[in-house]
Amino acid sequence: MTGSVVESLMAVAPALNLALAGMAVVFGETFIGKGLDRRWLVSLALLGSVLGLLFTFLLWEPASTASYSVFQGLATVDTFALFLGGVILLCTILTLISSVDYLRRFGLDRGEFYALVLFSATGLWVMVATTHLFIIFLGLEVASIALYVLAGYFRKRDRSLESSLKYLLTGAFASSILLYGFAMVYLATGTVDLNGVAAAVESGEASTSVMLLALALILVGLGFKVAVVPFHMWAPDVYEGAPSTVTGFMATAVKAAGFGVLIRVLTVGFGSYLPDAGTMLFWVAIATILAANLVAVAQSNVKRMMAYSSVAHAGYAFMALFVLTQNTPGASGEAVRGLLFYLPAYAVSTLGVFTIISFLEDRRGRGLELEDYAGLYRRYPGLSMGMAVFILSLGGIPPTAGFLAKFHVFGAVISCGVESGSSQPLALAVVGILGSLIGLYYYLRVLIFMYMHEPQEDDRQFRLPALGVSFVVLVTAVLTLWLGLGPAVGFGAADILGWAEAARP
Amino acid sequence: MDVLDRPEGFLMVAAVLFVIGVVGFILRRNLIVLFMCVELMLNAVNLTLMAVARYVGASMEGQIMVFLVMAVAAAETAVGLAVVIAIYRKRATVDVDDMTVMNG
Repeated sequence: MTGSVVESLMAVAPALNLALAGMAVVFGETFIGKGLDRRWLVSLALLGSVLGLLFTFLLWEPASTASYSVFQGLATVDTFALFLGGVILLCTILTLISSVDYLRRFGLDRGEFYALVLFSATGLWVMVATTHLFIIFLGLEVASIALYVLAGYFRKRDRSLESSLKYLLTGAFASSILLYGFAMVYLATGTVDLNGVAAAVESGEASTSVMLLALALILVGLGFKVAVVPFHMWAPDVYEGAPSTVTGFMATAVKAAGFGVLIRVLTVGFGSYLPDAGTMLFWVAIATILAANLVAVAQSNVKRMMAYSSVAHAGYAFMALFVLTQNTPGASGEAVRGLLFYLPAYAVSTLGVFTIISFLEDRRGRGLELEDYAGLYRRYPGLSMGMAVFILSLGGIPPTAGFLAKFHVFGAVISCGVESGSSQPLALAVVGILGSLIGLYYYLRVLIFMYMHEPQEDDRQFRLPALGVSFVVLVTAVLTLWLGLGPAVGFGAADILGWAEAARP
Repeated sequence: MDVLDRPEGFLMVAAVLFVIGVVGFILRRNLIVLFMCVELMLNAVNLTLMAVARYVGASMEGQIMVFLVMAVAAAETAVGLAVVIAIYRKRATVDVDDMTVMNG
């Protein structure tokens, strides 16, 4: 469907809501203290993102019959875009809610924080809702520049500034490499729309060597963004130093958008060149899973451990990308569906963990070490229950979302091995399972500290969890269990798998 | 045939600029120089886009993109320099090797 301005604006309504709400929040901040309470700003930000989610649901039906190609083909709003956009919006809403109490405790509750989260989400939404390479780049930059500022939001803290700087340097470097890759695609095919690229590749007009160079550059650029080994070295420092709720947003929404772009660029644009990337993806996945899980074992800081955990999960997701390169149509379908299920499953659990981390962090930045979690069960039984659910999900233990997500991704890898008769996918599956076993060690260690160790004697006072924190932990815990149990008990969550199935690009 | 009639020259210069940017980014230690290296990489891309738009693609997309890349680069530098100034105020250094509050 190509249509009028109104139709174009309607099709990108989710992003439009985010952007408008962001601008309204910036504007409203000017009037704070002059008869405007700051709670109104948070409500405004939430309203924008909830409306965005609402529009996502409204657009789903029409988009599943015929995808919107609007703004002269610059934006492509299909079920794939809406699915990942929905995940991004969900992450945004939960991040906004959990940030309120966190920022208030640090005395930094200002409008610009919420506005920057909204702008970043707008950029991420734009990234997944287009087949035009330059628009992908612009969306990525809108999201990234807002995140650089958010990472350094605690500007009195050395760690936060350093986190911002490291994120900015590696981010800008990676973006330049990615953009050079896009320019190479432009050189080889004379177009930057992925459908046009696919047509040029099909007709044999594209120069093979230039396309392969482009593929390598794009994989390196996006590899930095989603943090896979060997392009992950920024992640632990950035994740540790950034404000905890921002870290949660970076680890979930940004990854979802990054993998969305990877799936779309690889499956739509590169077609016949994909098998050449197989070996690269194979080794990247193996290195990521093994290195990240092994290094995570040695961490004593929970935030840093979660950073390595997030790198490891990017490795599992890369296993699914590897399947796409293997010329096995059946398994490829399974892999995309599995990966699309993996992203929300991982996102809800991770956001829950980071909400709890942000609640336990105190004004001086303490409360992030594993010892600080000792005996947490006695102080905060509710939060500890939630943490247990999230940790089990990240470790991949049934009946949680993480288990089902891993089940689908590993299943796709194995059926790819069966379909192609090659031993590579099976080796990858073995490494994946091995990595999950190592992962269980450091995940369960958190639970052991929380439930089996005596609480430390210290001056930290008991704080009642704020309403927002309890709400986010409850919602993410319910979602984690629902996504995990649903398909088995026929409880509506099969819809998510159905949506993921329908959302293939 | 004149060198200006073909894109190869421009693409070659752009590739050299890009590699200089990458190598500089990896080897240099001064934050300001690192930002300059990223700028160099982005401008190498700009040159590539111009050359392709002029000689290969015969579309305006590349040329328009150059403006947008400039805007993005400016925004990135603005944020980057603000962070560098904030760090300089606290620690009086702009050397990457001193950015080790976290053991990375």
